[in-house]
Amino acid sequence: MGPFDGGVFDKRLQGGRAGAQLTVDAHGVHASTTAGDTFDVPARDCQLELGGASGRMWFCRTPDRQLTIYSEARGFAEALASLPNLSQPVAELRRHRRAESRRGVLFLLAALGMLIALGIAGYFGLDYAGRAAIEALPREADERIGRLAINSMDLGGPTVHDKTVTDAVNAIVARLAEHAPGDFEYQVRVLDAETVNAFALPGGQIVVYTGLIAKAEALDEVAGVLAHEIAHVTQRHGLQRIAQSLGVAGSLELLLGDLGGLSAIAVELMRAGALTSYGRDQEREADEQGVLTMHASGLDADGIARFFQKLQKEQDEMEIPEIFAWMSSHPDLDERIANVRAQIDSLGPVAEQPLEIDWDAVRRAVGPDAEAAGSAAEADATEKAPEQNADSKAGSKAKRRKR
Amino acid sequence: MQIDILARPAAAAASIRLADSESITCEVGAMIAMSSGLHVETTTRNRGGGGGILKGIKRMFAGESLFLNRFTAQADGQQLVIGPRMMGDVVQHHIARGALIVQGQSWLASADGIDIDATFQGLGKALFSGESAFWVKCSGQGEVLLSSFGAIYALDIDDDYVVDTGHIVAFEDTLQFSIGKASQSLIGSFLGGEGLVCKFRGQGRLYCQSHNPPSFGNMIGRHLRAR
Repeated sequence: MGPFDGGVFDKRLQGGRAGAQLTVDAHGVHASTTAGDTFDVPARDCQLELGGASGRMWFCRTPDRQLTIYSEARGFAEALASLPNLSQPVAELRRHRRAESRRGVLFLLAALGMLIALGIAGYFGLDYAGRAAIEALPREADERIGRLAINSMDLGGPTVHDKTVTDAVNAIVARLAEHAPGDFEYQVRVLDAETVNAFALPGGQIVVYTGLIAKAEALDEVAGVLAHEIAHVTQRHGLQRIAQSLGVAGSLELLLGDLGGLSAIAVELMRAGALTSYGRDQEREADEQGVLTMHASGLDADGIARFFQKLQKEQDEMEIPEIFAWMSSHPDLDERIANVRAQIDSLGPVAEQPLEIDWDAVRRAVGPDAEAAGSAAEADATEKAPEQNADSKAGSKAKRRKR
Repeated sequence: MQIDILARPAAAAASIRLADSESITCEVGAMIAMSSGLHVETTTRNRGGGGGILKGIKRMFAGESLFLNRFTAQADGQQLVIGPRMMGDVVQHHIARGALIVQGQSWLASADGIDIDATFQGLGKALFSGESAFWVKCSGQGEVLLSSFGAIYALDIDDDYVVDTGHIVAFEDTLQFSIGKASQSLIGSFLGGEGLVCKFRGQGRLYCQSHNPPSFGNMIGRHLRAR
């Protein structure tokens, strides 16, 4: 059969190799080169191999490997298989090749599957790793970062020293701290500013503005806000924010406990406002934990919901187009109020142990105008002097960003 | 056609003397200098090989350009000097029959009797070897010029041979190429800095380069300042 395009390897040839025309007959494989030399491999001596760059080239060698005749021409394998003692090896090599290519495909699919799985695991694992890293950190990390942050922050108002106010706020925090998870030590500062805001820094630094106290009609409302802020501390949200912005390398650093580098990063983040602005999920978690703490403390957890309603009302009056509501970092207030109330319902009744604080006295102490602050809370947004109104808007803005 | 390779191996260039109406097809941008009696034609096909746009696109997968430059002498004794992009060597390989599988960046030029095409060497190999999935396949009869990064050495292999990834320039089609570990254990392979290697099996000629572009790129890349 033949002729087939192919070649010959033999030491006697110049360069050890030549192109040849091949024929196959009952005696074996024959090659005649372009230069006219002829070579033969008897069928009984022929050792078959399948290979070459394409993997489809058939080699027929003598046992001493001195002479090799090869081809990948169509029909060459069939011609070899027609020889009685070669049909078996040809079939075997073909089977082997098929098995190998199947294995190759399987291996490739497995590799692709693994890559995809790794990608997915990496995506979800990062969040988990960040949390785990935070959990592994000692509490000093929170405290150190919190101290660093509060010392390098412009807090936006003088500290209030009026005992009526500070004692009341401290008493609320002490009660809540007793029933909150974790054993953080809380340092509360009351600052004199119209901003309706309060925030917590990692480690237990809590800042409350007199604007917020003046706005709250009842003690439970302020307590609710403080419980929410304490939850940010106990759930270590600040450090989680840091971990999230650090990525994998940073999380590893956290795990290894490099607090020096971490503090530097924390200060950077804080400058960018990241340390006191939490994500939606964190706000939701803080609401939930806040309700639990309020409930455990024997305070009216609905204070949180009532305070949100105040904010909601103010937001409505500011005529923020509805379309922007979803863009703000915290969950929609309506949703938060509903969530808080649903949680309170599920918790059942609470044996209230009210704090013995004269809330009206506290509000009088912080308000620039005791009467106005004390009497007409529901009308205050509309009846305030224009510049105060403007301030309150600015306050709401800060609140939206920070809380 | 007479080919002289100058300044081997660090910064080689090939000087090609063409007789009247002889021509050679080169990689785009390879020309350094030439006599005035050469006609230059930019094309997607090379004569003797057919092909056209489709082959050009296949070539692009192999790391070559869509276009090729074909230089044809209009008179006797025309000289053309060509050189590779990277600093390195140039070798001449004569294909009498069969084919030469060339790593994408290493094909520099070929004579008229040579057909150049892209050939698929397997996705698995490409993923793990750091080599391209597509290679340039030169077949037919005539001269091929190969370029490298660093020096080229040629080996006539009989049976098995191992080359580190990134060091292959070209090999004859009678050689089978697969990917394997450098040492017995996979971890040992990586700690030894060799990782995966290319294993050759069969008989035929293999061209290797002394340096490999990815390692060099990694080494100097981090010293380069972003602009």
